Amino acid sequence: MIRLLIILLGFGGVSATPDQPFWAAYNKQVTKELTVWSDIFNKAEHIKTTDTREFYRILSRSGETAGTLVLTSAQGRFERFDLMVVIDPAGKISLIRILKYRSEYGSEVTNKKWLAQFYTKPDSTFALHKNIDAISGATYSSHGLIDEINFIMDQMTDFPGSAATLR
Amino acid sequence: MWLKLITMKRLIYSFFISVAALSVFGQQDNSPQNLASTLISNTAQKLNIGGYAQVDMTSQLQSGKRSNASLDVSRMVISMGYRFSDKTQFLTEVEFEHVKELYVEQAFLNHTFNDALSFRAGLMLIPMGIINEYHEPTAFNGVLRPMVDNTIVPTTWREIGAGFTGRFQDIGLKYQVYLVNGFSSYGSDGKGTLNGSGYLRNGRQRGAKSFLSAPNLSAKLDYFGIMGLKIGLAGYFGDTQSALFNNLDKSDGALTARADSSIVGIAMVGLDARYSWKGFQARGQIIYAKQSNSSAYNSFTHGDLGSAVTGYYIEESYNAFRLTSSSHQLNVFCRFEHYDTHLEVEPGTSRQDKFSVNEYVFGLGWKPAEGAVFKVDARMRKSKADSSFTTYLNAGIGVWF
Repeated sequence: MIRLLIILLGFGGVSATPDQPFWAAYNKQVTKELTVWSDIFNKAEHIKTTDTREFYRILSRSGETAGTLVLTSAQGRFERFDLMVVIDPAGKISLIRILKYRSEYGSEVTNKKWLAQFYTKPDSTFALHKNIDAISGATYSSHGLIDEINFIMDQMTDFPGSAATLR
Repeated sequence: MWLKLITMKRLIYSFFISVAALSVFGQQDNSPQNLASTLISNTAQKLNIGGYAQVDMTSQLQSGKRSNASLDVSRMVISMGYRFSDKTQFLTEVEFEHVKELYVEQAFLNHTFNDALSFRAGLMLIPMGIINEYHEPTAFNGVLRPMVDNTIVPTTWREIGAGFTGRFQDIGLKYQVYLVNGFSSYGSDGKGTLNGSGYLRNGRQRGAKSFLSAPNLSAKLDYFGIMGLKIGLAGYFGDTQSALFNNLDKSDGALTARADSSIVGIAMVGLDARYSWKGFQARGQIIYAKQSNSSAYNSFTHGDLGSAVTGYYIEESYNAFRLTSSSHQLNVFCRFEHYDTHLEVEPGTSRQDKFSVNEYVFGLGWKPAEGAVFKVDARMRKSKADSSFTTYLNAGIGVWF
């Protein structure tokens, strides 16, 4: 309850969107990842929260939309884990990072090279053992992640204001 | 029943958090519901229930002989994880083996300081090889677990202990270091438990009224920084436990010597690797262990424990449905295994060929959904003492949820 109060009162972290729990919890981490992702990154502007997913517009220094950021969580075997997904203006995933992995099982899903499989695929739907290779020790987490990414990509096409639809 | 309880629990959480957020802050839009549901999905889902089960049929083919097949609910396990806080968690597995035997397979409390450091204590799995930690039937090919993970690594090998674990995500490294209770090599019934045929298997204490003379060290490093590849290096070191050390008068030389003869020192190392690429999966492991004091132990217990053992296997599988539109998997696999519990023996123990065994396994695993598998396989086994292979035909189901 204390945590809830902190988040509601906006003490969870200094940001442009202090009332968004994910942003409040991962402000620094996400900002760092976005800075590494693109040197033109300036800020992320909250667009919308649907269910447990937070959508942000990524703005470049010149004020242009550089992509969409989604902060969300996915189900592992015993625990949920939190992640960020960046979708470029062309509607292609260009960055996935696991922000917090709680469980002792399946942490292999945090492997950046494995996550990079999602970047180059033109498919709109991802499937383990098909266009995404299996990962030893993280079967459940990889399924949870794929389900979540597929859900987000579905949302992108009919999500007004998203970078993907602004292309 | 449990699921209903969890659903109710979630609903109650959801209700109270929503009401609290709405009444105290009176926020507009949909943010309170979002906050509540976010918090529930991330922190308030405290109890997680899962399980796995394995039902097998094994039959032996022998020319000129008729044999009965064996049908068994090998294991039925209910696992539960309870999260006390974002950093503190309890995990347990309660297992029925062969319908009638009840065991607790894991029961440990874990506190995470950060990604790189967690402390845990309780009944824990010993990290050695692949299967002991990942023993769910959907995680391995074949109806039965590999022989090496039965005879050399006595899966499911678990003891009470404490230690540290952590991971370094950026470089893909995970470590585990535990001090754990060791094998009982001599029980209060006055019998030795370790020998050539079962090796350490009968010495497992499994946390059931176990006794400790001297703790053992168990450690493992896993590297998963290269896509598709996972490599593990494990070590296990220490003396076995003996009932003869209980109430032992230190000044009594004869009794101390007797107790010293009832234990052996174990040094086991294991290297395992798994690699997956476009529907292909290869895995293999090699385990080597040395036992010190086996000569004294064997003469004291009239046993035949080897002074060095080894076991290894290599397996290749392919998902034959990968290039089809089906969401099912059909894993075709073959495996070669070898183990020898009498790789070396000390003077006084005669080396036995029957403890050096080769096995070839061929089989299929059909997974209509992730976590559910129908399996069939054929195993051909031959020890050095046998003149021909014995063939086993097996079938079974496995589930994990």
